[in-house]
Amino acid sequence: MKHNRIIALILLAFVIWWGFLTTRLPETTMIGEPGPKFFPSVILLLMAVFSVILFFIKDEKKQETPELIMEDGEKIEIEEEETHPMKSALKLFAVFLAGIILVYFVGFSIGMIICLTVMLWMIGWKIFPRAFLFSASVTLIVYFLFDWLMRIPLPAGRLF
Amino acid sequence: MLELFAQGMSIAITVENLIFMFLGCILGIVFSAIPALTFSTALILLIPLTFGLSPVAAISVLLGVFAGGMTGGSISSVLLGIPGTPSAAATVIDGYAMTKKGQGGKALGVAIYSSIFGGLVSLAVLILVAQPIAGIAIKFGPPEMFALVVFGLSTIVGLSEGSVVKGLLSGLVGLLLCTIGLDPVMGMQRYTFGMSNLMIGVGLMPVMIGMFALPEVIDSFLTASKNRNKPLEKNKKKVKASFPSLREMRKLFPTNLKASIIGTLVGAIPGTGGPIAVFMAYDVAKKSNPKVGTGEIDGVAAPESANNGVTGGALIPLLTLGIPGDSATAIMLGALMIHGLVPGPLLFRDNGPLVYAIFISLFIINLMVLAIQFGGMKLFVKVLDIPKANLMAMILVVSVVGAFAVNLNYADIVIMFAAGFLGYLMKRYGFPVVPLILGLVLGGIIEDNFRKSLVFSDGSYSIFLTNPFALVFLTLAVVMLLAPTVKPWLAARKAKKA
Repeated sequence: MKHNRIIALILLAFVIWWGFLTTRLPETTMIGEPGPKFFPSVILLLMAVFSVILFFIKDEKKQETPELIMEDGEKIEIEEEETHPMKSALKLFAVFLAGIILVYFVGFSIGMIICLTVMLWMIGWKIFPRAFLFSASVTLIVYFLFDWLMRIPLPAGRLF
Repeated sequence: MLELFAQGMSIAITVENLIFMFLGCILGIVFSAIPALTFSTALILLIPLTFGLSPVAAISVLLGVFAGGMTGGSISSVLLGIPGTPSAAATVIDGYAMTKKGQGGKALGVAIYSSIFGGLVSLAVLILVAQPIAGIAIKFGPPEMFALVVFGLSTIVGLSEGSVVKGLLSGLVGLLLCTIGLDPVMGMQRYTFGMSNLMIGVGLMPVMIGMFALPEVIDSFLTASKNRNKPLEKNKKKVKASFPSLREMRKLFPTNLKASIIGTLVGAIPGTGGPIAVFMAYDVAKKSNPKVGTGEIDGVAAPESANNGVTGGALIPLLTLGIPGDSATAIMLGALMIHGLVPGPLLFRDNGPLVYAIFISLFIINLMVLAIQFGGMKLFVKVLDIPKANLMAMILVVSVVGAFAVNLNYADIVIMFAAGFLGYLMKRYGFPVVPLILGLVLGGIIEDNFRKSLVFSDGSYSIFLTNPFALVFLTLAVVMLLAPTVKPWLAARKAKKA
């Protein structure tokens, strides 16, 4: 199945679910005022219409990156956008999410050091000393800059 | 006027004031260049420190932060692809595209030049025609505001990078996100799922940081992982910082001028602010040069002139009517009142020399920002010499702080993550991210003003058609939205006839 079709179906399912939530919102009590349901309903209706249109639109083919020639004749090689395997991206996102949850429990410094060390290890850095020392130094610099120097509080952990 | 000008000059140009202006500029640039911070934070942090200063010195330092902040947001937009402030969101599109082409230094130069251009044009407007503009701006009630913002939203068509349907869907998702939280008129909870953290709604900064930074971080990590056996990669091209040439300045002049005027006028309308102005100006630039969006200097010049145009524009209702145009001017209103100055029509009558001292200070501040940014340009581009994976690891840490620091709310970090994941999927499947940001910026203002208009008219929709300003803006919005469909049809008909 084509990407546009899958996305359109997901969006339509989302519109139905969000529409159901919208029906449960309270009615207005003011004269002339359309109430809290009105604006989300209009947006959802438009989303449904455009999702149906998207369903019938063919997927675009990836265009080749053109070579850029400047006014003075200089040729510039444009950095090509790489498409990476979705699985690898999902793994990194999952580790980052785990890191965010960790921050909730153990606070910014410990949580971010662990999360960043694992992410850097996943992309091929040696876990010790490179990944760990780099993560620790970046996190601690940010900690000192914000928390200590500018007095902007960073997320504190629930446990300690 | 000349007498007031001379008196204002003697008040503004003192060593003490110049030092405070300079410090304010540096602080504004630094705070807005770091995606985790905004210059509004700098303004709030500075207010208690200004208590011991004279009114002009206090206003000088705050104006320095304001003008420096509006310019500094472009640094991270251009070099890292992450907007430092919401007003720098449109600069990312062409600025970062230029950096990818190895022209980051040039993009930065254009951004600095255009910012100062916008700042000076808006200052000229502020000095010459502040009071008539303020008179018009004050007439903008809910129907006019609704129509103006709908017109701003119609620029989504221009920001859609190929697929208008995908762009519109992206914008609608942004509008829908605005409905989460407390209802703007009745104060009821909507889509909060019982979570108190969601009552304040979905914040712009966490979404913006997530959508722009996270996909870039993940992609860079995956590229680094792919090249793990190769030696640590540094950027291949040495990026040189360069200021636009005279020829480029001439070429950019119409874009800069139009964008500066848009910025000033939009900034003068209370409740609008930089993000609306930059997207409107960007759309105008795109209409004059269809290549905008692929890494063109016009695409950097227009939003940068517009967002600095807002600085002078926002001061128009502040100084003439005592109405703040945005959050930054609201903070400055507080500071002015702390120092015994009550902005409004009487300010010009009772404190004329002081008002002119503010104008002169703003002029000097613009020149200072230019000098600081020009001097620092070579230093800023050094960021690009850092290996990308290392740089992105640092950005990841700063992103977490940035999302949290705005409201000190842990839920904002989760929102940042969700926005980043959504942004990654959108990028992968060809959905532009910028319309979603625009929808998020404008959604609240649209709904609020639409519903208030209907309350005023007892539910009659004719309020939008009987009001001349509203009618003009709504007609323009319809034209903009229909243009992509009608234009090819008209061209095909013309070709058929020929």
